[in-house]
Formats: sequence, C-alpha cells, structure tokens
Amino acid sequence: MAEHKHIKHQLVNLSVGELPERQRAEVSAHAAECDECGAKLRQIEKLLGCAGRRKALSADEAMYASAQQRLFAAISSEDKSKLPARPIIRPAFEWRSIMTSSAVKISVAAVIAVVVGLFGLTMWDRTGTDRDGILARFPRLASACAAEESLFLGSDIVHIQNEIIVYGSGGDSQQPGALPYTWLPMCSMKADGSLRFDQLKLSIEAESYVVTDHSWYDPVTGRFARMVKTDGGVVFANSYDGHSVYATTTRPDGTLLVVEEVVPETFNPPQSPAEFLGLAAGLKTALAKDDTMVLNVEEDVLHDGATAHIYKVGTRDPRGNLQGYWLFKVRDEDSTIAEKEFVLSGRPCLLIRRVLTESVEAPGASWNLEEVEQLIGEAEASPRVSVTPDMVIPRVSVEHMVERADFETYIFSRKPAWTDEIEITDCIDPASPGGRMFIMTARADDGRHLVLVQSPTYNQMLGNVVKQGNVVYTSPNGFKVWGGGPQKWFSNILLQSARASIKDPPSEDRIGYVLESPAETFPALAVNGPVSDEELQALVDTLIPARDRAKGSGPQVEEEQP
Amino acid sequence: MDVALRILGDADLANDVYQEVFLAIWRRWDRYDDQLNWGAYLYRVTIRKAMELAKRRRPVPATMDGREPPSAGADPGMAVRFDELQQELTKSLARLPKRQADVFVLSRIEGLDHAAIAEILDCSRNTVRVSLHRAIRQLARDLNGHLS
Repeated sequence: MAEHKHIKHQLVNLSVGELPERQRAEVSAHAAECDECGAKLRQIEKLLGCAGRRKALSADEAMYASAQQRLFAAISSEDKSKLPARPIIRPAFEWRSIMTSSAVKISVAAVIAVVVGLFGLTMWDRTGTDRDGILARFPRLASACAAEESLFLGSDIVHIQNEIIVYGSGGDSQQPGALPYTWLPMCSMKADGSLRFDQLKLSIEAESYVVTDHSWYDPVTGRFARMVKTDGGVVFANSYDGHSVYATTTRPDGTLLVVEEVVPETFNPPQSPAEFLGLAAGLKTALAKDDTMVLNVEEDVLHDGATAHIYKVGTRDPRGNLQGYWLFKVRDEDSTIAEKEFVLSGRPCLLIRRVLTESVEAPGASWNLEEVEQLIGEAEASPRVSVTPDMVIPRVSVEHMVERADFETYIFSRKPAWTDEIEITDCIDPASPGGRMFIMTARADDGRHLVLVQSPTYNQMLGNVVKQGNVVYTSPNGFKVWGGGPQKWFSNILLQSARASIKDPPSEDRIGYVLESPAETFPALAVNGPVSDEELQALVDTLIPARDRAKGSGPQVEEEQP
Repeated sequence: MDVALRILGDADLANDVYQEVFLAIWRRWDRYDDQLNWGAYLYRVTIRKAMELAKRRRPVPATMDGREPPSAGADPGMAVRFDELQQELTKSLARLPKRQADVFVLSRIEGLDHAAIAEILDCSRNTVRVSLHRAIRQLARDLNGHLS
C-alpha cells in the first residue's frame, strides 16, 4: 500500500518525463498492474495529450491582418477621442485685427515663402550639404530624421498613415482681411524624379477636422503610392509604378484628374522617400544648412502622456517676433517624430501626426492609382480641402514669369558684376488668391546676395509702407527707390524668402528698398550687405519690363563691367 | 495571437485578447521601463488576458471557428468528446491559481522548458516544476469525468 501511495504521486512526474529511468520503469510497471494508478495515468496522459494538441493551433496571416486592422482602428479611434483639446486660440481681436494690417498681410505672404524655403526649396539642392550638420547640436532631432528615413528601408512594403488635424476657429466669424484657410506645402514627385510643391489649402471651420494622408512604399522597387483623403474623397494623390509617375491635377471646375507621365531615361528620384513622404521631409537638409532656425528646445508632455522634446523651427524678424514656425515634437523614448504643429501669427493652425506605420503585403492603392481614378469619378470635390498646384516652381524662365504674372514684371537687363547668375522662382502669393509671386535671386561671392520680389500683394500693400521712408533715387527708366522705414525688417523677410537660392542667413548690415515702377507696381529689393549709391543706381537703371525680354525686344543680357 | 488562440481555441476570442493586450500597452506606453523583457512580458500579459476572457465568456471549441480538430479522427462521437474536453480544459485552466495556470500553458501548450518558463515568470525552476505538478493534478481532478 505504501508503494501504491508513493507511486500514485509519481504518475505526474512520469507523464511529464521527470523521472529517472529506474523509477520510470518501476512506476510504469506498477501502473500496468494497478487499476487505479493505471486509470489515473491514462487520464493524465489524455489531459496532456489534449493540451499538447493545441500546439498545432496558430493564427494565419488573415487572422493577423484582421487583428492588426482592428487594433489600429481601435487605437486610431481612441487616439481621436484623446485628441488634444483644441488649442486655446488667442483672443480673436489679436489675430483678426493683426491680419487686417497691410504690413502683416505682406509679411504673411513672405513668411509663407519663407516656410516653403525652410521645408521645400532647400531640398532642390541635393549637393554640397553637410547632412550630418545638425548632429552636433541636436542629436535627438538628427535621430528623429534618421528614424524617418529608416521607415523606408527593409524589404517589405511600408504603409504610413498621418493625420492632418486642422484646428477649428471655435465659431468666431471671420473678420475682413483674415485668411479663411490655412495651408501646407504638398510635396510630390515629378516624372523626372524632381520634387513638385503644391499648396494644400485647408479651410478654417468652426470645428476641427481631420485629413488623412496614406503612403505606401516598396523599398525593393522604389514604387510608391500616396493618397490624401477627407470627407470620404481623395484630394491629392501621387504614385510611381516603375514606369510612370501619376499625379492628380485640378480641373478648372475643381474636380481632380489623374495624369500619367512616363519617366524618362534620366529619371533621378530622391535618395530617400523621406524627402517627400515623411513627417520630417526636408528638415534635416534645411537644418544642415542653418541650424539657427531651431529657435529653442523645450521638454514637454504629449497628449498621450509621453515625454518629448519640442523643437521650435522658424525665423524671427528683427523685432524678435515669430510670424510662422513649426513645432517638431520628438518622443524621448524612441526619438521619433510624434507630430509637428504649424503656428502662424501666434495661432496654432494645424497638427500633423503619425498614426500608423506597418508592413503590408500589398499597397492599399494601386501603384498606378487605378482605384483613385474611380474614387475621384464618384466623389464630389471636397468643400474644405483643395490643392493649389505649383506652390513653388524653381528656376523658371523670363517667358514663364511673363506668362504667369497678371501684372507688369521687371528683370535686370544686366547681371551685376558682383553676383552670380540670376534665378527666378515662381511661387503662389497666398495673400492674393490666384496671384503669383516671383523671387529673383543672385548669389554673390562676397555675401551681398541680391533679392528682388514682385507680387500682387506687394503691389497692393507696399504703397503704404513706402510712406514711412523717403525717395533716395529716381532712375532714368522711371523707377523711384524708397529707402528708410522698416527696411531692416522687410529686407530680412525678403532674404529669408530666398534662402533656398542664396543659402546664407540675412546679415546684420543687410539693406532693403521698395521700388516704385513706372507701371505703379512695387518690386521689393534686398541686398544682404551694404551697397554703394553707385551700385544701387546701376542696379535700378538696368531694370526693364520682363515682357520686352520675353519678346526679344529688350537689351540682351550682358555682364556689367566691374 | 498564437498563445491566445491556443489557450482559448477560438479565433474571435484570441483576436479580443490581442486587442486588449496591445491597447493596454498603447495606453501605458510611457510608463514602460527601457529594460523590460518584452517577450516575457507579452507571454505573461497574454496568458492573463486570455484567462480573464475565459472566465468572462463561454469559450468556443477550436472546431467551431472552422479549424479542423487536431487528430479528431473520423469518429463523430470522438470529435464531440474532444471538443467538450478542450472546452472544459479551458474552463478549468481559468480556475487554476495564476502561477499554476501560467506554468501549465507555457509548459504543456507552448512547449517551453522549465528554464525558459522560470525566466518568463521570474521564479525558480523548482517553482515551475512544483506548479506544473500541482496544475496537472488539479486539472486531472477537475476533468475526471471527461478524461475517463
């Protein structure tokens, strides 16, 4: 009996293989003879067999896909419920009244160009940049940029979903002069591999709303597809299927059209899709050129409770004011960019944040945007989100400028001896819907870079600004040169607008003038350093109507003799 | 997901566990220690969530979600009994003390050795051995009618 009792307790050990060989034989022999122990052993083995059979169960890919989809939906839903409270908007009078000021409208127009310069224009120059330049001062930010780039490495197709949260006005009615929308540079790839910048216009409504931005990228083939959606419809799309680049364009009636362009043999796409798909597009390159744009770094807590470092990126005017800037919020735990917020004139306008990054078997949209075409055909144009094409077009011709401008534009008939070649950049003039702003720039070896900006907003508004100064020169070709007044402030904006071309930051001894043309337009001139009276007069004397050059009737370009 | 599926034997319930585990992680993401052993943590949390769900909801046997019962054979009666046994096993597992249930799942369902289980549960191998022994005995008692 004692043996039976002892062996009964060893049955489990026998079943799980924990008995030494001698004991195993002894217990097995007893179980074979003892009905009770034999039955007990069979029960235990059946139990373990039953449990062991579950090892064969495993979730298949469809189960995982379904679970992940459900999880991301839950997180997204939960995240929306935890949306940061709509930012406290400064008293309406401050924002509204400030926008009725002509000077501020001008600066807003310029600041938009500045911001484009920060995050777009700098990307065009892919050479000669110390891409690790920001590592020294901002290693966490540099890590964040690297993390963005690493999203597109590997062998699986990556799907990224960002949300653009457009903050509501809280029901305040729009005041005269206030911009009824906010905006965002929308970067896409052209058929030659270069980048195109459109403007995503987002109307400011009483309540906040969300625009989703999906991207899929195949690291193996370089194919990608991107869709920006709101109100159930597509507002923007861009893709590359290995043979052609596809992009949406806006018809005159506001509806979209997918346009295919076959890539040429010279196709040269960006080195990393992070340059046009990620949250940090252009940031690293821009800061590598000038990390003084990082104005400060603060520690803070994100809406989900995680700690983060907040990088304020922008440029102050000489009065120390910040018209527009971005806040890059980098999570402490993994140094990834959690979100970025755009603030204009002290008012948070929009927030972009990453809500999903995953590897997928196939993109959610065909590489050739086939489904997008159908979606576009079925949906009406979104009433609150639209894309204004060609926010910025670099290096345009004089003919292009004449064709696009709805006002008289001027060019220098001679390149100054102290500068390099003159470039013209065409960008939208946000304060004058439908209008175009033309930024003429020329770098100078001695740092006295030259900038001439012409735009409908300047033509309407600078007439008031010049009254604060005085005429310093009247040229034989009918130009009045106005100096004095807020020229330091103004020249700073002009030079910042042209940073993509002139590279260097505005200098302390920069100088600015407003030119009053014979056509009663107001081109704005800035030089990033002192100019003599003779140099200024020589510059202004060479101004001719651009249409004369476009028609070939004006003087041909010739270099001024030093 | 696999662990939850093997404990519960049902795809929908396993999906629920998956959601609960990862949503819980998402919600308290900022509170995790950098040194956390995520593999061990996920095992523990998944087993706990699965056990909680098994207690709250009536589990559905594996065959109910369209999967072929492992080695159920051609005898319909045997298949039914197999399903019942699986169902009862899940219920009994959920009633076991936490440590015993964890050890049983990790050892007999996941197939891990005592050393790995000890690391996951942060205990000694002897504790694993004793807990497993007690779990099997208790389950055998609970399932006596179904195992005979």
